[in-house]
Amino acid sequence: MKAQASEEFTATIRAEGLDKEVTTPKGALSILSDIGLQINRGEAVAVVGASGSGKSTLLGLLAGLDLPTRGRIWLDGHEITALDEDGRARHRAGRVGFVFQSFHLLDAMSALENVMVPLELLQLPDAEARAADWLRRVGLQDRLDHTPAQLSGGEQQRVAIARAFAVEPGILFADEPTGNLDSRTGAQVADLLFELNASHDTTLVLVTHDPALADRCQRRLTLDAGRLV
Amino acid sequence: MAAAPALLPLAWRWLIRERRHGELSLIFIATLLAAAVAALTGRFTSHINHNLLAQGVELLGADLILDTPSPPPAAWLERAAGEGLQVSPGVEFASVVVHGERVQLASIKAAADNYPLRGRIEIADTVRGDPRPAPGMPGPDEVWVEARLFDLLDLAIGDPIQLGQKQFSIGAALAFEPSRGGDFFNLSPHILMHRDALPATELIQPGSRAHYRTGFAGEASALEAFKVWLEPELRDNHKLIDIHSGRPAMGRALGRIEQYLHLGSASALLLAGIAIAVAARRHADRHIPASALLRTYGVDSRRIVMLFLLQLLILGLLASPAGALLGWLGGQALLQLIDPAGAPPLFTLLDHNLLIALLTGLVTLLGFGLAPILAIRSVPALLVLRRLPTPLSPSRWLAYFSAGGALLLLMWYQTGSPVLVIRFALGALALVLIAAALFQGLLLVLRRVRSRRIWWRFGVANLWRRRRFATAQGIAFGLIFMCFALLIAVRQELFDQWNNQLPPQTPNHFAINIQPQQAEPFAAALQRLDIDYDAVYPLVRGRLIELNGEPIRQAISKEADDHNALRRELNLTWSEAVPYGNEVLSGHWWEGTPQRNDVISVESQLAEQLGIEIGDRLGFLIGGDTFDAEVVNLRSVEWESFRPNFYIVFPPGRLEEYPATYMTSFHLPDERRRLLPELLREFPSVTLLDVDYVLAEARRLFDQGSRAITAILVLILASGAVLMVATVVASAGQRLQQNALLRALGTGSRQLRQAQFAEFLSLGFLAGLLAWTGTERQIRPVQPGVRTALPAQSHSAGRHPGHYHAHPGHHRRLVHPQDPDPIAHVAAARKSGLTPPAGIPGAFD
Repeated sequence: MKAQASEEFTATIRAEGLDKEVTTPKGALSILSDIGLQINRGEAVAVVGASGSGKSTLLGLLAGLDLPTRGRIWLDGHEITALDEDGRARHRAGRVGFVFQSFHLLDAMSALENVMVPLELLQLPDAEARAADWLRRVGLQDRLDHTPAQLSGGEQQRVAIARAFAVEPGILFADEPTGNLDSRTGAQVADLLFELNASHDTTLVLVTHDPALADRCQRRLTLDAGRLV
Repeated sequence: MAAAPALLPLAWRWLIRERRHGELSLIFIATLLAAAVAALTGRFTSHINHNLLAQGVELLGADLILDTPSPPPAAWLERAAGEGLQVSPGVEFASVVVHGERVQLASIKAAADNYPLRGRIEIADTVRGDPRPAPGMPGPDEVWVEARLFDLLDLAIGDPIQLGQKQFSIGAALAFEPSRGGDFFNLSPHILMHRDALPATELIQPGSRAHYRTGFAGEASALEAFKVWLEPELRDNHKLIDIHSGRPAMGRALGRIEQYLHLGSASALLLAGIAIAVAARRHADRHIPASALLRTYGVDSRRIVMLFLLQLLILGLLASPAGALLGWLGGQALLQLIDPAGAPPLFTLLDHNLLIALLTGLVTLLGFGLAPILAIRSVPALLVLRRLPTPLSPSRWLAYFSAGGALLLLMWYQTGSPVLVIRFALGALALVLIAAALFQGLLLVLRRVRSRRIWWRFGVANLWRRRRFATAQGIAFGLIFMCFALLIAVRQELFDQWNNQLPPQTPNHFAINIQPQQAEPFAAALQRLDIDYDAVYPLVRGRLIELNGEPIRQAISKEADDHNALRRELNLTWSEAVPYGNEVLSGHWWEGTPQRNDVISVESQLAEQLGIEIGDRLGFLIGGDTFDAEVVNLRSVEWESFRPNFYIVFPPGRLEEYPATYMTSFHLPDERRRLLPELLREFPSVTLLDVDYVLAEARRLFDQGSRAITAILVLILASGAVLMVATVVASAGQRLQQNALLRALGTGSRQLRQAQFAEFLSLGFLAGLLAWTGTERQIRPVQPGVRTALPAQSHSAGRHPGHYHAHPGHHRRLVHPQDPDPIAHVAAARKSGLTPPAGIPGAFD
């Protein structure tokens, strides 16, 4: 009992017996099977595996974007598998940040406004000043008014990183953050991501199939055909 | 809603940032058009009703008339003055007028200086000369005399005439005067004199038979207060008359214009609404990834929906007032153009109609835009990681129902006719379902058409691949074409109807009080003078008292209880043939069949309202006699035809034993008016009524109506265009993406253009085919719908409290054909023709 309590205290993310199946015309298809894991506070974990091994599905489940067919997940001490979609969204608010392969910036808005949006939605004070500060930290102080279309891929991902860190989340989920970038830009973005992660003591869950990127994490979770190996 | 203020800055910024996106502009323009259409319709219908009321009041000479057989108690007049009302006492009576050796019975009105309180007197300096507004009332030694008296007594302006003990000189020819009272079947030529000159004539003595007609005018609230106070004080022989006591049959014709405008505006609202729905759907679709992203930030569905709803609301709050104002100003400008004198000043018109237009814009926007926005609620957060099919949330359908509901509610408010609205809704629903099936079938056929041209195959394949969307697009296009075709067809039908009703040969004179022995000589005289006339109809006054042996008021529904036909004597006639312009709708006419004299023909709307069917027996009271007759046919009557019209017609052989007079109507062109004195000299007791003014007014109003209809058609076209653009924009993203891919694969731009041409050509062809089929199918049901729904329903005339608040429920009378008199709708309304018998009930009693 004592050991479990201690685990819960240090574990930011914990999953038990996760199965994920999807229905296809040919019947149920297993995507993930019997996944159990624990990720501690401040830890950087890479989820690796071949294409179709279930990496992004696992990330989605751990972040509460989706529900497993079976099993339970705790995020920051709360069992998110017991919550509905809105409940899980509310639980994420301010706790979780995301960086995506395809950036997911709002096309119509400037870099500054893109970073401001989550701050405003959380009703945090001085949204504009904080957003500008974060863009300065990622080296985009001269690009505040640029829309995504006016930014390069690397710059867009830096905006996305600024947006993710601006709400100062405890956990950051990154799905192939360098997947759409050339190797040089990808390396720069990765440097930035790990640097900010270290300085803010953020728990990082990184999905990648880039071994170099995975090597920079403290731990590696390898998926093969939906199972942890 | 607590989240709304916090979300407002973000909603606003997002909207501003996206303002150049096509769908937001479309939503804005469609909302603007919806509000503009409502404002324009409101503006025109207000104008029409305003005209109706203004003309009615003008004919009455006051807002309210008190008719008493002796001077009204001074306390009543003091009370009226105390309420702030203007009071104009007057007296009307019949007396002989003498000029030299000649004597003629005349109807004399003695009025005060401030007569008339509403409207105006018009006089002419020569007999039948150009009328001009009178500067006031005749002087103490002067009278103004109607043109007919000049003919009858061979008078000239300035001639002396004797009235009782006093001699007057004729100051002018009386061309128009409001508030003509008296009995029109004993109509005598009119004379207007000053009230102060009356004692000198010694014509009014205690016990003299006279109508003391006191006019009141003032604020609606003061009038209402006075009426409420006065009504309990009135005795049986006192009558209180206001505009609503009249029954303007012309109102029915105007009602058709109004109904058409409402149908047209409903169509425009529907098109604008669908455009909003299509554009909002595109807006929502484009924001699916953003909504999923917002969820990752921890925003729940309620706040996401709120964010997009706020954007919609901001758009609505910008577009709707702008549209309402534009429609209003456009309507005003158009009225100024059509009727510079009649268009009221702009700033007195900022009434509730503007607010209604504003709300119409917002309701259309929210009703149609809500559905796609609500669907955003079901966007899963997982979309940020992978592409998922976005399912149609059931709430979307629910919201579509709410959109439909909102639209129907708006239509119901506007038309005041639930039957019409339900018909419209069911028709539209059936049309969409049939059109969807038909479109899919046609698309299938088109797909099987083999062509060697790749661009053609490609275009049709494009349509087939997006067949669900293409079907919606095709229906939308088809609907636009159909609405337009249908409204043009109905417009044409309305115009034809008006032209048929008021052709150049429309009778402009009525001859009444023709004595039985004069009937044939009068007809012969008309023939001799080559005057085109209707049949000469006998008139017998009788009361409808029983239905199938039961007292009529007990036998009919409560709503029908206050029907005019039951409150007064009817003019009954007999005829061997179906009266001119009438049509037997059910049963058989008696012409050429073995004669029974206990049968009757009943006007179909009266039958419907009183629940009379063929085979029923109606009981009549004529003089002291009662008898009954069987209803053998129901007949339609064109009340606006300016011809003698009757509720009840007997076959020859039943009414001849009762005292009767005869009447007819005929057309006399201006250049042949000189024949009138000749006719009057030959038949001095016959009363001739000149209704040219009425015709001119009717034609003027129809002209206004037709222009209003054209304006609405233009707005419908604009709404249709917005809808077309919306549907094209909705698929533009997908099309661009596909074209880029095809181009990358080596397809030339010429081929791409040809493929698009083939796609739109097929779409246009199928939509046109749908519209043609729909129009052909709808044109018959819709036209009679317009025709029959109008008079039978209370319509929006009463929905404009600006004019009717003080008299709830009265609008029914304004448009109802409850006119028991053959010429009631024209006879006395010498000028405007909008209010029969000068708004005086019982004018023919």
